[in-house]
Amino acid sequence: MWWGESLGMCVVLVGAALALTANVAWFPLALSLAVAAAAVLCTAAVPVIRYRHWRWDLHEEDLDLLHGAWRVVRTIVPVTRIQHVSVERSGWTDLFGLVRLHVHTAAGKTTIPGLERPQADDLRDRILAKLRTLDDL
Amino acid sequence: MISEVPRRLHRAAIVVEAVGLALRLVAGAVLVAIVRGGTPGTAAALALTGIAASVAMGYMSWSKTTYWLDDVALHYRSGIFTPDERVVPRARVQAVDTTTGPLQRIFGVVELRVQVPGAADDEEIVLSAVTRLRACGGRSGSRSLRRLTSGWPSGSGTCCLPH
Repeated sequence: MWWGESLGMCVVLVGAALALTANVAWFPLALSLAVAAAAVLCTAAVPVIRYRHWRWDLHEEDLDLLHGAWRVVRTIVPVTRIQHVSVERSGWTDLFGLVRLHVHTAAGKTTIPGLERPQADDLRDRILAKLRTLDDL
Repeated sequence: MISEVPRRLHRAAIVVEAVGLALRLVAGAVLVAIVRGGTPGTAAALALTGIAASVAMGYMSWSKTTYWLDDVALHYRSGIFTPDERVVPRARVQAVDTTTGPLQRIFGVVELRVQVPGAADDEEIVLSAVTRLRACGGRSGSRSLRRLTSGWPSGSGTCCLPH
């Protein structure tokens, strides 16, 4: 699943490099081949790195997401701010038995990509259970 | 609880802002030079102008950006010529992101993004450089900007980076 988006970028980069060689006289062929090779390499490696650096956890009072190797992003969503939770499947994620979990707050949504189906259902139920108890307080 | 005087972002914000702007300007300038068939000299001149302009803009926007927290809200004022002030009640903060890019890492700061209801993604409050201590607090995380902003109780793990 993780290779999906980087494949698109790879095609764009290789295309751009080749186009530059074809249209701009002083742009050397070797350089554009190098760019194309680098793009292919990145396509293979980047998704693996992304995957390895994705962490999430549901704490007592907040949902905690941490991802990124180069740019590290940590998002904290207090459970009390969550409005609803949705689980998204698409043909592409179904191939791998995965789903995306979206957590909606009043300010928009936060997504955990690539959870296994039972895991996502479990997380959703836990969030909803927390909402119920916190609301009662 | 607390009431603060307006404070500025960490000086690293100048660099963060300038680099972001410069990348866009310089990429544009170089692209124009290539497509128009200009000499490398023109491209370099354009690029240098772009960098200078970005640094100037970065400095101005840093000097005009202030934020402060009081008991009920986070105040954020920004804008070079016509500063806007935005006030977000703590109880309305929906989520807080801290982002540490390569530039922020160099300066030991983080970018703090406050997600506010009713605002589009590009209208979120972004404090582009605050010290990690200020954003996340000390070991206990008490007095951290991210917690004070949303009035979360202490006790949950809220530091910015894994250790």
